[in-house]
Amino acid sequence: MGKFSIAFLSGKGGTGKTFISTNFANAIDSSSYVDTDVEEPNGSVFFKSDKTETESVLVKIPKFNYDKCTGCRVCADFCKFNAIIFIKKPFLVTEICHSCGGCYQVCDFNAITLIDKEIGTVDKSVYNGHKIVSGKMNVGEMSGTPIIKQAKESINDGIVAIDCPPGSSCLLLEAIHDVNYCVLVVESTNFGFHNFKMVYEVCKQLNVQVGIVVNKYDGENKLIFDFAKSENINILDVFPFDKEINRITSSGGLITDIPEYKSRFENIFKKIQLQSKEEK
Amino acid sequence: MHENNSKVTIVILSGKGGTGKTTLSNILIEKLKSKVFIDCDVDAPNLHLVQKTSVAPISHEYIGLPKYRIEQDKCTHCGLCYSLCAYKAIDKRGDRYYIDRYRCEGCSLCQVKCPANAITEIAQVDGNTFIYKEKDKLFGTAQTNIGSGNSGKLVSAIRKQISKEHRKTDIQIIDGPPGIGCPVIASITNTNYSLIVTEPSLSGFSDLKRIVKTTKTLKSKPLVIINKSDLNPIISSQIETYLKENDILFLGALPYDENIVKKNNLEPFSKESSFFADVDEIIKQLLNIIEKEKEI
Repeated sequence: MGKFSIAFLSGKGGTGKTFISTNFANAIDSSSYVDTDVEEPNGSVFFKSDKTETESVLVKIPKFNYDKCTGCRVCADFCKFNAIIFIKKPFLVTEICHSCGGCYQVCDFNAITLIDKEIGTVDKSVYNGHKIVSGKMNVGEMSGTPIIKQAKESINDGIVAIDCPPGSSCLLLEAIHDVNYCVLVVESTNFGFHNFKMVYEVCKQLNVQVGIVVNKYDGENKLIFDFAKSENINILDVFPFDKEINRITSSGGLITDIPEYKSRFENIFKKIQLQSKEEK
Repeated sequence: MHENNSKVTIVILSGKGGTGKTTLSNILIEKLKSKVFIDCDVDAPNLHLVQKTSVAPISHEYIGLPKYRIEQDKCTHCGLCYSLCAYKAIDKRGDRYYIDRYRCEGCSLCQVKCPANAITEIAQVDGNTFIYKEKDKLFGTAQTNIGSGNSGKLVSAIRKQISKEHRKTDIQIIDGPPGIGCPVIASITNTNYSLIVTEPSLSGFSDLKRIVKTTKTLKSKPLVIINKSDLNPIISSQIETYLKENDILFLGALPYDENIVKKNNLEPFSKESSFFADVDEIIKQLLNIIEKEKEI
């Protein structure tokens, strides 16, 4: 079977990306779930497992061999991130290093070796037949992009639900790199709508198919519906704000364990399949 | 230290998104009469939607590191750039190589090493800063461009620009981004307090622990508010217990209020709601803490 990746994104945080993507994966047979919100991953709250395999995410950082270093400062001059401070000898500011490996490449005296540094982990488990992958950045690290790459590479086939980070920065771009479809989870508030438009622009630029799930709908704010109509975007489903859904979700439960909701998510998937066939 | 114009700087954080950072920031700005405040959620800014200003903002482009492009007519297809790039930002299509501008982090290694000098720099606007200058308030906000990897630097840039205005205020409010990564770290740096708005869910709780750890390493004192606390009283009380056990100051809880959600950005807050009685209580607590620490 080929791979069909569906990303769940929103721009604004807390609109329900994890709620929709975990329930989607739970509802669709033999699908997988990848949590790429590596700064604050929460998928494992819903897919509990006693058997989790953890792998490190390593990046390369330079180590200076001062016996060989001639003090030419080519490495420090090269580093665009100013991560190498030079006081007679080079010193690394580890937190700023972007792990490009350039200093190692430009040193003519073999005075630099690259060593591994762990910036996070990727947890793998299985929940009711679903492969669950969760990227997690170590506290204090700056960027989780390599963790997202490694987490996504863990799954090579089948239907994959990718739970994205908020915002529209490099992290989001990595999370939606090469996906087949984007589900935009929108909250019907002005804040939600404003940030939705930002990620919608991202999807348009990348020329990836999109659909909308409206979440926590208050029954009043129609901005998203008007916009979807004018842009001709598929609305896949609308979930109202519901205290019972909130109670289940906030306690770590999945609403798709209830048959009524399972069929709703199956229906969302059918609409996605139909749309991706049509637009091809 | 860029905040020497403010006596106290408070950054509003949450870890998890959507707990109510911007809504609360907006309330605090009004109630604490903050004259200088910044929206540092540069990847998804919203404070400008609720901060009514009468002036147009002064805008500056933020230029980050350049990105690179392969000149196809000069490229000899040796593949050296492809094998050197640590970010896997170079795509190979047939015998041609292309740089994915969203993956490129601008390290310049490909350009420096290219034997055919086929790689050139392209200047990159990573985002914009906006400053609203009024007589009695100074409001800074910023927005990254799509796919920018410089959110943290943009946060530092807007904070620096605001500080250069030398406006005095008792309390400066910073509306922070979600998460714990570079823009969050840049927002917490040189603040006195991190006011963390959490919500009673297992997700919110798990994220709270990670953001608390982050604030502590940056020496900004964490203070916690549980928003929408009545939506899950059991988890609310678990959070309170955690705070007590870990000696983290708890400022109070706020109820879920449908009106706040519906109206948060359409009109000014109605001041009759019971929500605001609790807000006043929290502010009293906050001011007490600030006052006490001044004495020390």
